[in-house]
Amino acid sequence: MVPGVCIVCPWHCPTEVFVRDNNVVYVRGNENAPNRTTRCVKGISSIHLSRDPDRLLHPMKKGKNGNFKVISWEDAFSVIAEKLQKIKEKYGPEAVAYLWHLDSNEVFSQQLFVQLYGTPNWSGHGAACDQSRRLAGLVTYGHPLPTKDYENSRFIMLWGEDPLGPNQSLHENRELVEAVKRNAKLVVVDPYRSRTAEKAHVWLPINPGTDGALALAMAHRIIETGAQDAEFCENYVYGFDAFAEHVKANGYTPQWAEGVTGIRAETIIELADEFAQTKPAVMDGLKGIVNYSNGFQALRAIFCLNAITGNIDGPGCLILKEAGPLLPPIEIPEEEIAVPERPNISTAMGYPLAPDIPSQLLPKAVLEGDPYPVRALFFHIVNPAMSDPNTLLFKRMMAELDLSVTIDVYMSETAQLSDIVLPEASMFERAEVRESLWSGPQVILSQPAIPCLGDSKPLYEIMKGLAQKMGFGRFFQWETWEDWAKYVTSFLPVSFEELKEKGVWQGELRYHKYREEGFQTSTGRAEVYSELLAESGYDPMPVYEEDHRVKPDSEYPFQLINAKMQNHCGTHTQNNPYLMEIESENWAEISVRDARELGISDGDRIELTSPIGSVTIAARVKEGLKPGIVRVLHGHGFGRTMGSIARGKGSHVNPIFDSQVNPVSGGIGYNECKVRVKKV
Amino acid sequence: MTMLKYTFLWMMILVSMGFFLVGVYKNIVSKIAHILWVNDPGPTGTTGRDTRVRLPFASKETIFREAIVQKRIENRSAFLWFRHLLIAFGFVSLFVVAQLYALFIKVYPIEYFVIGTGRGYLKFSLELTGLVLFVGLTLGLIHRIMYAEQEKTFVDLRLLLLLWFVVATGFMTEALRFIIEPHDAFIEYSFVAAPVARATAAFPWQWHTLHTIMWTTHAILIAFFFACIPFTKFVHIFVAPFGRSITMGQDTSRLKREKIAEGLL
Amino acid sequence: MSQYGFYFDKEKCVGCRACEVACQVWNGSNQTVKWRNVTTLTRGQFPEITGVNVSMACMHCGDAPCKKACPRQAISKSEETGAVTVDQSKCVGCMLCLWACPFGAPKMSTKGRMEKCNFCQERPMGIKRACEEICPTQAIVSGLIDELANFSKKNVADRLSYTEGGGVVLGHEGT
Repeated sequence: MVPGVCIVCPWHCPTEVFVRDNNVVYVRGNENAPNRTTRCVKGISSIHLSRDPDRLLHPMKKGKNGNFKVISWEDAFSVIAEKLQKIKEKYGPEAVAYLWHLDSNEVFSQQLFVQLYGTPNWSGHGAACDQSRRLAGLVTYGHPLPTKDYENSRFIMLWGEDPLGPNQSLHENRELVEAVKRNAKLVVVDPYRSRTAEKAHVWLPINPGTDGALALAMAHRIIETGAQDAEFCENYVYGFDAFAEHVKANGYTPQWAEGVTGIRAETIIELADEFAQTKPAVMDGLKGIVNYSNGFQALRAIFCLNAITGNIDGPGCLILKEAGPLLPPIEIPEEEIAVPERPNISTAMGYPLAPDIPSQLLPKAVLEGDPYPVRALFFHIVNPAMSDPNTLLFKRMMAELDLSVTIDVYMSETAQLSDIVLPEASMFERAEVRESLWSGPQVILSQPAIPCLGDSKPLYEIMKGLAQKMGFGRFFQWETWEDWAKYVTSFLPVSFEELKEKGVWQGELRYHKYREEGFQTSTGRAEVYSELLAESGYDPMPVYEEDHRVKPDSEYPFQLINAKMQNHCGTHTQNNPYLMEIESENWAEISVRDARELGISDGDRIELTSPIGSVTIAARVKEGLKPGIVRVLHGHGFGRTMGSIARGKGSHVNPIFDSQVNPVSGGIGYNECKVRVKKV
Repeated sequence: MTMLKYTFLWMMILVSMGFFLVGVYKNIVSKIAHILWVNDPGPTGTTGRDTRVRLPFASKETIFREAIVQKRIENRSAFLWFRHLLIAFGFVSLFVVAQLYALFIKVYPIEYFVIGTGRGYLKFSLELTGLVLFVGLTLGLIHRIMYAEQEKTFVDLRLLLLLWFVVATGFMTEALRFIIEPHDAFIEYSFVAAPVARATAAFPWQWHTLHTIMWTTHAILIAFFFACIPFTKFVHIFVAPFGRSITMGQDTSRLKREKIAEGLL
Repeated sequence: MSQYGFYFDKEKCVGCRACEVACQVWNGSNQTVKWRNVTTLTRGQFPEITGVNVSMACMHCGDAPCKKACPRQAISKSEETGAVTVDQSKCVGCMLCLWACPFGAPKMSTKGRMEKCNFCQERPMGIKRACEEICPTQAIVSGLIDELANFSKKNVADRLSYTEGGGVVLGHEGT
């Protein structure tokens, strides 16, 4: 048995991998971790990744005729290093952008590209994911990724969030379900009766994109009745009085919210009262909120609700997670660290607060040199050719680049468009040291269970090889992964051997850290009035606005919303036979009432047309969906190359989305799309 | 046929049928009765809802697909399906023709079949169906001995061998009869036994004794075979077409699960 | 004879199908068709909707109808564990067991024989079954039937103790 980690979805549960004769025969969760032996359906199915014949096995370079030719690692590194040098001389290091997902070994690429090569444009996929939540967390609590302590909670309200659906963070799911069994009140705000809504005491099928209004109306009620936690507001909240004034002055009443959200004012009032009186409570929102252009403001409002009722960092609340003491693997002396001359591209584009690069705006930088030219793109476990909106624009951009490199386990659509493709070793074949998503400090040490398939390499080996060609080899000196792993974990209060055996180290979960350390904001308090936002020229307090909303009209009468399939993740699980047996294609859902009017039955093919494009997709008729909405499940629709099982299944919907941006966080507004529906 | 032979034959038949009927009752009839009882929807009680799935009686298409064409086997392997089809249809038709033979020649004699050309056609049919069955069995034996990795033991071969010898002794009995009665009126209708007889008649063996031995062996083997049917794998001859026609007409497993889930709704 | 079985909590099941795949992965090539299946049903009209997710494999019944229905006595019940298993070397694929089973547990494999959940027979008793250990919400629990019955009662009592205005007695069970 080898302790490992699951890298299928961003929640990275610790795992146990059972190996016999260099074959992975079984996988399950790590008993020593909070998720115990449990796995979600994607996790247990991931065993296929260790033996998938469709995986990339060799580095490849695209020739003049557009076909890929196998090259050696040596050649690949040389070509890349050479081109990077040329680009640095001509345009500056910031002309190279490196986009990644959530591999913990990314710290190697950060040290190479940011600290040594000198580009400030090194970014995760936040724009496509939870950008607005991250910024809202940073601004309000000084923490980008608060977790949740369901176990001790008595009131849980989830906005546009479906943890029990795609099953992220398994221990949280188990705790949520157990908390509900202990009669913790669960309220779910979602226009669709999601898996989480199925377990909820109250399900609010809200009008799409109006969650901010509901949150502000609840705040109004709490402030009006004086139900806030006055002591907490006085000692730990910044700007409560301004916020109270602001909410009243703008008329964010429950009656007003009823007209906007479609939820009765009495319900809003009841909920607000119950939320304020029940302690501890937790409120959170995720994709269903961030996919709208006003999602940032809505999350700000939700986080403020937690703040004014004193529900932060305590048992049963949002937890400002602490991380374990990990060191970066490479020691670089101060004087050798490169200082970028230009600001990172998010700031240059006008999104100085964006935690990650708004990748949907990169085509502008590449094609028009605005705000400055970007000439090379690196992709690691991201597939924007499938996941970004406006696919045609993305393809045009790729054709224009001087250098594009994709590091992946499959020949994804993005890899197919790249100049050079490098095969990465899967999570079964590489080591990782990472912080988990448990509420307290928890470090996972994942070890290679089987030898690397084919010629694939773990990212740290790839960065090492590249660094050597780039002239930075002296910093990447290790023989085996254990050398750097020992160094990275040297500050942990447990021996390396014990960490290797258990696979997990867990520190103490500390509550109420703000009492001693304050919040990591400029004022040291939870900011319902944000100085940072004010300085940057944005609304310092949560507002409700619909200026950037794309709403249905007479020509396009349906609001298109996005959702994640329960048993797939992103665009990389579609070559898995176990998962494809459960659901082999994606689909678009419409309500029973709309289906009747349009003459559509379950399984029919329908055409969705937006102002910029059209797509044909299978339809499913759902009772639990609010009328006037088309809910599309993303991820499928691969063309030729991804893999033998994924090929040709489902429909790729992204071409019909335009590149909408959240004005403050730079996040992609996937739900800002209106469509009309026609039976094919 | 002599009195001795006659008595012996009927004793065999009675004993064999005795075992057969006991076996059919124990292994088929009471099982199916139990299943019908388990599946009985029962009282609807306070919920006003069935607690069991009512499986519809098999449609013609299902019976054709499962019992006649035996599609399920073809999905496994074309060669297996072919062999099995030869055996299944060979056996059934051989049995039917044999009963017709007994019926219209011994029990209710009809001139056309006793001394008319009908008898010749019956003879021909017996040999044809027997040959089909024999070829299927032989193919099965060859496959099992030469190719099937897991099925080479005597335990797996014994039933196959039993039936193979039943048919082989049948042909040999008839061939031996043609040797001792070369002027049989219907010998031209035979295309297996007669040529074998002609080829071997020249040998100076005790043909009468041999014939009696072969006839006795054939009778014993048949009796044994029929007695065995309900107690061995041969029972599938009756239960498989029946059970499969009923369960393969719809997604039975799913229907039952949905019924249970309904109860929890 | 001790009788083991499954306890399933429908309030915890989120219909994710991880149990189906865990069973597939654990049993490898012995399994050609899914032994455990999750059924999701909904009822009602927007927005008044109810639903349930149910994960079912084999109930390893005390008086197993499949065992009584098999003309070859190919299905047997273990003395030590009460698990009901199909002996594929005896099975002729007549499907009478599927006709008998109220849960639809025995299924036709691609090999022409019937197959179904064997309670992870390679695992010793006392450790979790594959479906049980993988379930993210721990909706499946295996164990001795008597212990599971007590576990179930305790669960209900536990839940009721958190309800305001409780005082609901466990009626006829009398414990």
